[in-house]
Amino acid sequence: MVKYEATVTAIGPLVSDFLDYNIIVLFGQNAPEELAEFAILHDGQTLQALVQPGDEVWFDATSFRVLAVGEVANANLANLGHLVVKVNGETEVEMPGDVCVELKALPAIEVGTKVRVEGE
Amino acid sequence: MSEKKYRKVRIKAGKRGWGGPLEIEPKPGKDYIYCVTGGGIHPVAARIAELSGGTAFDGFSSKRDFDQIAVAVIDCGGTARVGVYPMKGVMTVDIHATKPSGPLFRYIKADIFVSGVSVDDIEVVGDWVTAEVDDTAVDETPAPAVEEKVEAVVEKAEAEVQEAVEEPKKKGLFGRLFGG
Repeated sequence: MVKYEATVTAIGPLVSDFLDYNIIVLFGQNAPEELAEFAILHDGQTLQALVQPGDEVWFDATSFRVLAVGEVANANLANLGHLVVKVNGETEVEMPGDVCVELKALPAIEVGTKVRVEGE
Repeated sequence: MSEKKYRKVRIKAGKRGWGGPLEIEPKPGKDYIYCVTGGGIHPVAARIAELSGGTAFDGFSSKRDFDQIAVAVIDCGGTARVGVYPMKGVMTVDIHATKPSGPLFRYIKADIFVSGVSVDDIEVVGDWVTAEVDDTAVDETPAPAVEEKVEAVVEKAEAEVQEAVEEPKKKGLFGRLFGG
């Protein structure tokens, strides 16, 4: 099932600072300006089911298998449209907000990119 | 002009928290308790406002300049918000027990950041001081306390995560992740 879906509406000028660390930071469109600077903003609304290991995060046609989900990651996504994707191949989270996914080349993300979380 | 009362509060790190203690003393023109948790005013922000005389407001529904903010209250899981406010020179209180991390970790210092904070980690350390306030510059509208919403969302998520932990086929992996 599709657990969450969104379309990228803006990309902050400092997003690349996080991409350099293989971290993708998403926020809903009502994020305050200082967070929007670092974030990929999107129009996602409702989290249909909790994200969990084994799910896939899609950026257009590229998927990343979810390996670990921090204890506050789902609340962040449901509440703020906020998702921190760490493309690091780790099976244990470092921080409670993290969603760790398989390590592979970062996707191209631009305004209009479709973001989805799919899983059982 | 009108009068407002402020007093100094001390905020210490909570259980498993890091950094601080921070002393927060709102003053005219810099008395906002900036809540960046979504879903309204978090109880920690409401408590800081109540004890210090500051004015809590929700960063997801309105905006103030950084130089008007006495303290920012966040519920960051460790990557973005933990660093953004310290980088901007804003005293930062994280309700989650995070420590310096993320690309902005170098800005996260014990004299500007404290984490793992609950309402019990805030204490009054000064007497009320009366200050003259320019009404044209300060929004007196009290921020609504809709703390239940945040708590409800978190509790629901935690309950569902707990259910997932019980699910036998996922047990090994979840058990490691959630210590359970």
